[in-house]
Amino acid sequence: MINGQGESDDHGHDGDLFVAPRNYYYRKTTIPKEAFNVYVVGEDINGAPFQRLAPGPSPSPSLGLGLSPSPSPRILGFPFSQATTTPVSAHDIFKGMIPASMSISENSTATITSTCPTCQLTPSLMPIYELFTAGGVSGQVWGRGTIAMLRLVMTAILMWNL
Amino acid sequence: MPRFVAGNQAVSVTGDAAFSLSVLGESTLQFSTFNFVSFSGARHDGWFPMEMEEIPPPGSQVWAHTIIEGNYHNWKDLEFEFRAKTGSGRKLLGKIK
Repeated sequence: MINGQGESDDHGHDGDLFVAPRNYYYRKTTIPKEAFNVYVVGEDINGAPFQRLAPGPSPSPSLGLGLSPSPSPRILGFPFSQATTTPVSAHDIFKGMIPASMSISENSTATITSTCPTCQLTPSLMPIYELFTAGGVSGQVWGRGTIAMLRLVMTAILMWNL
Repeated sequence: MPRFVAGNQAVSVTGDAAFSLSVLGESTLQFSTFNFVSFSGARHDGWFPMEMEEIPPPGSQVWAHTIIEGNYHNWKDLEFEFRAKTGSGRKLLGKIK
């Protein structure tokens, strides 16, 4: 651990020695493999134990670390029965959409695979993927996640309200 | 509810309807900041919070920056922990050393 009270050899433009505040801490750590909160435990000035939770949305592997709500890939380019559609990541964290373009007919299914380098989805998390048209959401499908990979199976009948 | 005193507290619930329980308090000790950081910058380089897409996959090693406000006993005694967001007991997932 590095405490902010430590010295630095980095001098500011005015020649002053940079010293971080003493309540700053820098530590090397390993990112957990499931959703987490961050706590600090210690003793207060009177020697009494304390515990505190880090504020705000905690970095969460399931959400691409720190985002809420969960990002989703969006599928654009309706109607599926006629045109080629293009899977697009809404938050630019889903990479390598395969296929890059596709078509799908009524009552059929298709599979889109994408990698998500910053994601880890656990079986308990079942993200909802929204199917978008130019006019808005046309339907929803439910996907299953595994580590670093998303597999989306969509059913054309869900979109038949176009 | 009366003002809490230091120590363990107990709450009794009557009935079977859904409920939530919130416990709030004020303290001079605050965990004010937690970020994964990376060293970057050109002329004025330093440690900067990572954007979401910059954070490496689970299992990767990364630097974390924390700020604690208030008076505590000894910074060397502070321990930072990852705990599961779900499940009973908030399972310990790892420590930030």
